[in-house]
Amino acid sequence: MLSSSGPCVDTPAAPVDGLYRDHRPWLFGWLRRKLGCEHRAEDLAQDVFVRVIQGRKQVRAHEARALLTTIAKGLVVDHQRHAALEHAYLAYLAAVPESYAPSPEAQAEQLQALVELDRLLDGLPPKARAAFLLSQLDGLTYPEIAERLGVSLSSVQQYMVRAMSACYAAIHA
Amino acid sequence: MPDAAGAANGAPLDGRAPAGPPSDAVVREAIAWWTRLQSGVADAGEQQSCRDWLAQDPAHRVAWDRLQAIGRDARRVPVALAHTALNAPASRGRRTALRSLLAVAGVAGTGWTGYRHAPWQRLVADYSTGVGERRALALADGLRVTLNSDTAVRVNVRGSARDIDLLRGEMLVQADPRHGVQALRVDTGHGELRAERARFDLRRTADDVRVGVYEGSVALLRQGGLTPLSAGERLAYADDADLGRAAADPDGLAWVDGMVVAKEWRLDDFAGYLARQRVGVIRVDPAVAHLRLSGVFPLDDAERALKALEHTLPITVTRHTQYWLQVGPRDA
Repeated sequence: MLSSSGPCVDTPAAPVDGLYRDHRPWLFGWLRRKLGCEHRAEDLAQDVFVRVIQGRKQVRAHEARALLTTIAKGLVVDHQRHAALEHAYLAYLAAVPESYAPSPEAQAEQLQALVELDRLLDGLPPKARAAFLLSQLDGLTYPEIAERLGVSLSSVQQYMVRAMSACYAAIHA
Repeated sequence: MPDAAGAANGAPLDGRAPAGPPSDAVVREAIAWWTRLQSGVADAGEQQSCRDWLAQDPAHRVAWDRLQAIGRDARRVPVALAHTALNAPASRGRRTALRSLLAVAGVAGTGWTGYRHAPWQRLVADYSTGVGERRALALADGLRVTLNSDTAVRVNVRGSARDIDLLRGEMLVQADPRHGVQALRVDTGHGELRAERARFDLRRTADDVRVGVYEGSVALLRQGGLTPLSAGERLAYADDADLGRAAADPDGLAWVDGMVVAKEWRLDDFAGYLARQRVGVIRVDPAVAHLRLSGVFPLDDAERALKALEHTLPITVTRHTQYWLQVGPRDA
């Protein structure tokens, strides 16, 4: 999401190692305050620089701080969202009896499927999102969804078009 | 028409090359077809037209398969998980509460509950649900009901009539006044309810009826008496007696979303609640029936819900047959 945006550069620029040396300390401190966890802050700080390296090689010195902060903010949001999904998944698993508990591989897959679905539905209005889930996961018909959401049948049809278009775009665009 | 702007990549393509990505236009058409066929109410003609469209061009099939794959991948997420994690359905306020409660908690308890079969009421009903099934219905303009598990109703909404007989089970009713239409009348076998504008739920058992009002007001008519109930009130009653009044708790409607919210419930009451949602028997040992529990649980898998309590209560849940769950003390 942020890897390709951001100011970068052809002119006088700090090489990444210099960038790392100069900026890692405050970035780490900033992340630690945001996340309240040293290890996570460590990991994310690392990720920020990985993004910079993957993006372009060089960053203008006077823009470095703004760029790194922007990337870090994006990563923190992603991280928190992922953590929330993971938390929801763990709560869900806690309610699954042991004999039905999915294998560790299956758990990883389910969590991955959840994260992916969350990504696909990101940014959709709540009702479009709800309509899509009620249709595809609950197997409700559009009249049932209309009833459940208190909207007209044609609205449900529109929500579904919108949701599917968003999903398609998120994968294939 | 579908709004699929930006939905496909713009690579130039010859519609005949099945390997190439479908054009935006094809994707838009595919989404239009796909969403129509997912409605659950597409008729044979529409289905045939869709098949014809698919056969027209390999690119159509490619786009279609991509949509199908999206649906398939979405379904890899367990439904209960999706609704809690991705905050799906309507009732926002309560959802938040559900989420915050989701951690499941509990204390100790006892009792047992059985279940019954093949209700005759379903045969004479206009609408019914089987055990474990729930169903939302728009009966008329301004009149919507959601039937809980194992519920049967007879409905007359011809002309200006707005009559429902609750033959068995439980339902949530949303009534709004409409010009030229009579007030809603609900027969419960124990008196009759009248409502102009109200949102209320109603549960009928062999012995009594419970009604909870969440919006508007409801009047209860019994032999020679009228009992008004307004939003926030809950009443259990039989023909001639009030069996108890309490505050109406919107969490009691969690079943509409396939959940149950328990707050300091006795284990036997909780098991009884789950038992109404499933075929079979849940037996709770008297030694643990009194234990109290709180939490939010999925309604559709009693075994899973009870098993989750093993972490917090000194109980063991065993399944003897497909239909028989036994809840006993842990060391027994």
